[in-house]
Amino acid sequence: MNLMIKMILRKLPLKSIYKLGEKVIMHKTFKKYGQIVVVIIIVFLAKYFVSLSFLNEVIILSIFVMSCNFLLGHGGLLSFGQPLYLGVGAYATACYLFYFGQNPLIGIIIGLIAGVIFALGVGAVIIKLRSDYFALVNAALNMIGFFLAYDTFAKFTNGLDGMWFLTRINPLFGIDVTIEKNFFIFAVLILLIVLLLTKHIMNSMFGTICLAAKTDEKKLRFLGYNIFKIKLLVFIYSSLLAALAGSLYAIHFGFVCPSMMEQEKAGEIVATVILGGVGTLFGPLIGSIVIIAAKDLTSNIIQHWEVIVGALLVILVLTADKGMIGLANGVISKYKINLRNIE
Amino acid sequence: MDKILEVKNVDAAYDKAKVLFDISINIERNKTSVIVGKNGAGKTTLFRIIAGFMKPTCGSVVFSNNEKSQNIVGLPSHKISNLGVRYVAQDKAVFSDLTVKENLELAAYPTKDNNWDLVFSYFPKLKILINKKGAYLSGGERQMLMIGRSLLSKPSILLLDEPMEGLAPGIVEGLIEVISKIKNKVSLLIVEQNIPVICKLADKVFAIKEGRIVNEFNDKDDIKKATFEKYL
Repeated sequence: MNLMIKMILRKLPLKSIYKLGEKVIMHKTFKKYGQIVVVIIIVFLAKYFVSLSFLNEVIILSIFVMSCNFLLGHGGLLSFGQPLYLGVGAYATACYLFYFGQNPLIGIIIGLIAGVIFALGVGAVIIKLRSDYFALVNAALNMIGFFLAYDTFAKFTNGLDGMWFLTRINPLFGIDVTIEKNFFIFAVLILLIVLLLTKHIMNSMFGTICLAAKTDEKKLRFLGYNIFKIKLLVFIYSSLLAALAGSLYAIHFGFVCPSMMEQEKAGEIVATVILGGVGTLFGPLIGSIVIIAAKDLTSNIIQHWEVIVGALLVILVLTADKGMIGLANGVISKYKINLRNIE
Repeated sequence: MDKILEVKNVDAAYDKAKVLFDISINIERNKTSVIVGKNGAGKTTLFRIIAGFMKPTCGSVVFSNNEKSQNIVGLPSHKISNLGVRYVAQDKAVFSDLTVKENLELAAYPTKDNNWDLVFSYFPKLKILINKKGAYLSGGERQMLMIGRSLLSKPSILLLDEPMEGLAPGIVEGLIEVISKIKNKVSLLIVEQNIPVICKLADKVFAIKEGRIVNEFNDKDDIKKATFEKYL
């Protein structure tokens, strides 16, 4: 079998393709942002092969997963309460669109501001907690958030019936974003901005400081760094992403309800992060595609799609260091070694 | 006598186990003071208190820079570090996922002191290793990086916890040379058990035993004549 593959590889003009590919990939600018552009083009072209509703769901989920991924990968903080921060963004946008205005862009901005203010208030109190307590306190806060939306503030949020405002959303610069294909372009643009910003942060001095803090807080304190401030900033950026995902969710569906903050969603998000690859840029996108595809495909075969995803998760954790991204990197390096051996 | 650090009547305990008893020492500016004592005598605990990683049960630590004196007990460790008190821990642990360059950048960032040439003048080897990850450095190289990055922020006092421990004799010689070069520019407080090293570097020695300062040597001649073996 191996011999056959080698024979086929020998006949292909792989050497020149590989060298050209390597030249492009090794270029400074490509290394920095080219991968993001390629991924965005792939996502954009995917609309010809899969449904727009699937892609829109993937984009919203991947931004949400990025929030959890950044918190875990750069802050070393595992949160079982991320749906709360999604809910804050979603309900802030929903309240604006339901009660006050009709501009979706203002709705998103309000969602983001609410996310940042909420993260500042909550983060200042919980960020100092030990990582296990941090995870649990977040889970508890998530439950409180759920019941506030479901019961305490039901007068404003309509409880489990949720808030419907799809028809109140005005076009954005003349484009109706409530239409699936228009929303897709809007969501792809937002995804591009989020990926560029996250990449920039990961490559910046702040990214290095975050990684160092995650490795050893004490050592960083020796050098004069305030760990609290670093972790708070990571937490705020993570909450900002979750709130953004919440706002996009509200605009896409024109509806929000407390079930988006159900506790089981928190575990789902953490699983998606691990599936994609903790601390990687594209891991959340890959993880989201796999999770949503697994839900869609397996729900026809078995009742509980979680069984399939759970098994996949166990296999990935046992075989790859950084989820699917780690697995792909491993395959690529093996391929490179094989190619060099042939040469 | 110009004091940079004054530890006054410090007691410390881990839960109910008391480990330091009424410790009082004075560290002079731009001099090298050495603490000598057995393992478990309380040397590292004293360093942890000075660096702000542990609170004493009583007593004070007064740090004096050129402008003012202040009790630094209770201040967070990063604030103490930014005042100019830099702690080089015993574990020789650099950020293993980061390169030598990134490790130095991290140290330079809070104070914006990018005088890397100063570090390379003391440790030329670090220039060669600039793109190597911390995980692949030898013990000696790690120690060079740790001392080097502490020097980047122009510290007032360096706390070196057993800097020669576990290093090859050749590397120890090199480190002694570097410490001899910097000892007149920065105050040093070193925990050390290597007697020849103590005799070469120390201007003042404190002997610590079972959490108490049992002897103090203030004179170079006294230090050379002293038998430190009995404290080890």
